[in-house]
Amino acid sequence: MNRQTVIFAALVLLFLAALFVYQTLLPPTMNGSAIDPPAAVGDFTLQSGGGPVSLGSFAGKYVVLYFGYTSCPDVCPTTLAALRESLSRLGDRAAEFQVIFISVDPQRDSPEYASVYASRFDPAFIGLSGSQPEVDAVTRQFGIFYQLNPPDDSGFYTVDHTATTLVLDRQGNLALTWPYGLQPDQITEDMRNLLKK
Amino acid sequence: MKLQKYFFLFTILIFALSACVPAGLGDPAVSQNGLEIYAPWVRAAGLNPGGGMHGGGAVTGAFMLVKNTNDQADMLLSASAEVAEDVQIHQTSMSNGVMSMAEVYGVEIPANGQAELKPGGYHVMLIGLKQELKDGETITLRLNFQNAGEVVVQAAVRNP
Repeated sequence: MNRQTVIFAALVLLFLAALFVYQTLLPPTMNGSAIDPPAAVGDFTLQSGGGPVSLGSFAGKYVVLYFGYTSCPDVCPTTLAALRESLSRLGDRAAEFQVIFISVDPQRDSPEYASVYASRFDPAFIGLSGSQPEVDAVTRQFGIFYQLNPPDDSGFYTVDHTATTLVLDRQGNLALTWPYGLQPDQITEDMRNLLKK
Repeated sequence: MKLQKYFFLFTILIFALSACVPAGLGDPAVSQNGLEIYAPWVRAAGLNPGGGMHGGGAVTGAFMLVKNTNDQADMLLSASAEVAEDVQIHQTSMSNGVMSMAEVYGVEIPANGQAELKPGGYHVMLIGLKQELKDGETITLRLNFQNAGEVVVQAAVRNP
């Protein structure tokens, strides 16, 4: 090999090394939308089948919040199932995440039923409800939109609601949001990145 | 000799590529009057005793793929099931992160085309479940089409 080749090869290697270092030092890109710095959202207390539950009691864990209603046969089960699937890929570390389902339809979803519904996806999932004003206050606390639509002839009504999943960091601040439709492998990837922090 | 070697590699390549071909749908669950229904399934669900007051009860959704082999378009007008008090067809839509659902009175199945009822889109909604639906069971769904008439399918209950 002549000198030119050696220099060229060395430059290429140097470039690759620099790229590698740069990539490692970059903060990981999340599949969801990161909120940087994480936003304070405060605490709340709602009702589960087993009594009152406060957000503050989960400090130290990542809290995954999803607002929905049980009479929703499509988006809500899909999201909760995706969360279960994503967590199952973390093995033991799944315990560092607490999934909480909050019903925006307390008329039909009692705290007991919300808890039963959530636990059907995974026994560790918590389901919460409360009075309409209590639930309403929490949705406003998190910037979640919901609307109870007019009932049809049989009395059945649907509820429009923000289908985004919210992730609070270990200090209880909003750090990340996942849009509806994000795939389990993408969610798991974000969860692994969160665990690295 | 060289040609033989390349031919051998080429054959291997073809075999490898054929593994990438997406798996077929398999056989339709029901084939009737030119319509084929593939993979009908319904989400497992428990009962909601407290929700019955406001026309709720427990709610779940059924999904499937409908293929129309006729030269004439058809439409899924309605459906019924013994396990639910009421069955409606709904369409989910998302806008700016907000999900909403509305009853529709017809899902068009284009001529020589297909319509998919899947999560995030159209679904058959079973309202006011009278019994728990458990993974592994099947339930009877009666689909009412404009041209093909009533088509009965057995939908597999699957965990959400």
